[in-house]
Amino acid sequence: MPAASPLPLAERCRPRSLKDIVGQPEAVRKLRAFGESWQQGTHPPRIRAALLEGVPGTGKTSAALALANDLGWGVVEMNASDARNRTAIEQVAGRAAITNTFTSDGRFLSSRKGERNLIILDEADCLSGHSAREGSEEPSRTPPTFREFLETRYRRIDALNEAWHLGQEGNPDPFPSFHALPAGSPGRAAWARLPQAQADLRDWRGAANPPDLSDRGGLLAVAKLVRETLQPVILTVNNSRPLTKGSAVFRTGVSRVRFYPLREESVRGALHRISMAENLGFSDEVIDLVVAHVKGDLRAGINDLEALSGLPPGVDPATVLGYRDLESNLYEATHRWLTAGRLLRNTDVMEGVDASPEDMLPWIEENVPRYAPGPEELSRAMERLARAQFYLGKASRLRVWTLWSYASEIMTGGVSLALFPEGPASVGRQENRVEFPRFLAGMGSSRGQRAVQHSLLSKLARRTHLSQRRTPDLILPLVQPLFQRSPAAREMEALLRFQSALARELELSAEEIAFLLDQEPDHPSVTRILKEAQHVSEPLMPPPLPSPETPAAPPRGQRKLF
Amino acid sequence: MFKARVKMEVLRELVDVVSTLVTETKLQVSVDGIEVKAVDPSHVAMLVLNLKKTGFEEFTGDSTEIGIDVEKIKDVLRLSKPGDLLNLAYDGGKGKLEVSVGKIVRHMGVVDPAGITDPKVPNVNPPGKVVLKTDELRQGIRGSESISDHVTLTLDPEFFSMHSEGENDRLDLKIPKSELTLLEAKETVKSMYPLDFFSSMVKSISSAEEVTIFVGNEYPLKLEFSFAGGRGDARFLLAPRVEED
Repeated sequence: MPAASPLPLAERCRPRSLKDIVGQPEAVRKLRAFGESWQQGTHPPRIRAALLEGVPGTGKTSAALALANDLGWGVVEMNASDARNRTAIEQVAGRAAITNTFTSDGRFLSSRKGERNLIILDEADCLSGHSAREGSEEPSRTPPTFREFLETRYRRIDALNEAWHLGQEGNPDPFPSFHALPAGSPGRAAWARLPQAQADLRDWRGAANPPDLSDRGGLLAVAKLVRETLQPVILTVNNSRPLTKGSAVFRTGVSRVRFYPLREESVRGALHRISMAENLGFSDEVIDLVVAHVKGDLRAGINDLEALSGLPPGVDPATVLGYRDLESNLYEATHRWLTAGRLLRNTDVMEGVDASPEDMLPWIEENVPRYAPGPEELSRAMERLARAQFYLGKASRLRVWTLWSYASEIMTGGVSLALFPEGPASVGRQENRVEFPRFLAGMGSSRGQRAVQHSLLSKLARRTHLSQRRTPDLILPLVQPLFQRSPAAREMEALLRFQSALARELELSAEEIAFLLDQEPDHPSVTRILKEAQHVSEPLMPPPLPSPETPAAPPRGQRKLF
Repeated sequence: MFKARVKMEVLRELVDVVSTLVTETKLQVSVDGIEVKAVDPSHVAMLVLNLKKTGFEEFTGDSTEIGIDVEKIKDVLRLSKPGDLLNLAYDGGKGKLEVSVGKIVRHMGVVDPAGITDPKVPNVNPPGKVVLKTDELRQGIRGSESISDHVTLTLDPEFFSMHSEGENDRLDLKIPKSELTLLEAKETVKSMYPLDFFSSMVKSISSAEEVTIFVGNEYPLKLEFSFAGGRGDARFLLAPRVEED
């Protein structure tokens, strides 16, 4: 690497001007027009904000910063890492939106002279729309009352009387004890005007109201900002849905600018330029490898270049890039965990793995039997795995993620110690020993099926006023037989009508009907129900019950009990 | 290296003033004392604050930067009472800032100063200057707060005035030149400022009896006051509101 620089390469290479933005001609044009609309006179334009939309690494933030630089505007940024609840947005972005500002290089910008200050809200789609103080309140310690606060600070009442200069000329009388003080706010008491009491009050309020770091109410605050700002605002999002469905102003009151994933040539060109400019000296092959790897995400490409530039000679860049690949990584990690034969600290466990303990568990579960030397060890190992699972469950139910470290330490070193109590196992590193978890494979292949089931259940739940959790137990067992029963010939038509009416009422899709029939979606019986559903106009009536005199004939070859 | 002993009231005022703008800040320590420069996240207000070594009870220091979490200092201040002395010690590098009061010692993790913006303070010289009593200013601000979220300051060769306007209500504070300590204005100048910063800044002043205000036409406000018995001074800059025509 060239001279050690404090900033990551991707930051240092940010384009300084809109004309340096790679591969987004349409977006650049729109953004420039947005910028110019703010340069006309001192009055803000009708559309006061731009919404930049696109997948990561396509230049949204870079373009916003470049625009500001081109027009000589100041910039106030709010990133996802800052607290962005309603108050924070009102205080930072909201304030900057109605005032002139200073720049960090020591200039005062006057909008009177057309000097604007651009407000950039990065990843605005991650803001939550909850209004302040709504939803689950974190359990917090009760703040001290003013009296309690003073007791801790002064301990003796004479200390307080002295500090507040009580009893001196012009001041109120001293307090006999702490109980003479109000528990809460002092209101208009004469002593509350004393400067010392004021200072104590301020401290107390600070202690009683810890800052709120959540995103609560952030979205509402941004909507207000977009409507009322007197300075240009740019929002960047990966997905505009959360905003546009949150408030109409994001549909009609902003200039929407789309950023597309970059084409390979654009990424290649940009990486070549950076490689030259930074003197990294990468060959075309390496750059091609990176280009193929990042799929249109230029920032990822620059990060890859930076990672590769630190490599010792002789290391194949392909293996380094592949390291990002979660799965191939988990094969090795699972082997490492199971053969450790000692406890691994959480940091050691996670080394080189980008997976949560919840992702790790199926891998270990799948592969423990393959590593177990005997049934006793296997049994002990499964015990430990169960314990790890217990912590995972607790962690997600209680939302106490610190419990994850227990889970991950037990499921790795703990399980390994159960298998190999004597220390590190000398099991050779046979890659094919570790297998992909069947549970995950099953989940993957049944994904489509589960989606159908889910949508069907949600329709049933809505109609029956039940929670979706209870529908599978209470309603599905009643509905499914109505579709799977093989009726007697004379009931056939009535049943078909009923099924069609139900399908129409619930607006069932072919897939959902097929699920109920336990058939493929293109099966004739599915098509028949769907077709009939378009014609039926009669109200939904249950099919006639089979008459008790003529019980349905049992399938052929089945004997009757009585 | 930095080692000092300071009165609780002095540190509290310093921290109160700083915390109106930022939650984290950089203490710039030199042989002569400390300096704090801060800009609020919306770049609307700036602050430069100096405390000379004589403002401390004891002080030894050489050139070093300490990134502090203002809230943590406040936590320690809450454990002390006026009249107490606090000891501060920092040996540099990644070490902890040691703050002790009475029998309590707190070892405080410091913030990497590289992550804190080091604002360059613009050279702002508004034409009008007024020196007035902190109490009178505070009174005017208290009145304006219930009416609006901004306030217009006017300097005239004959008077200083403060005006705020809400939907239905108006409030004016007008002090004639004869009742001001000092008034220098060749012509009438006025600007509108956001009240929240102005108000929290003025309210955080606990020891200065007088403050100096500089005002221009749609120009930043400069507010100067001293603390720690004149051994510390603060300069506060506030950008004016965007005024629509």
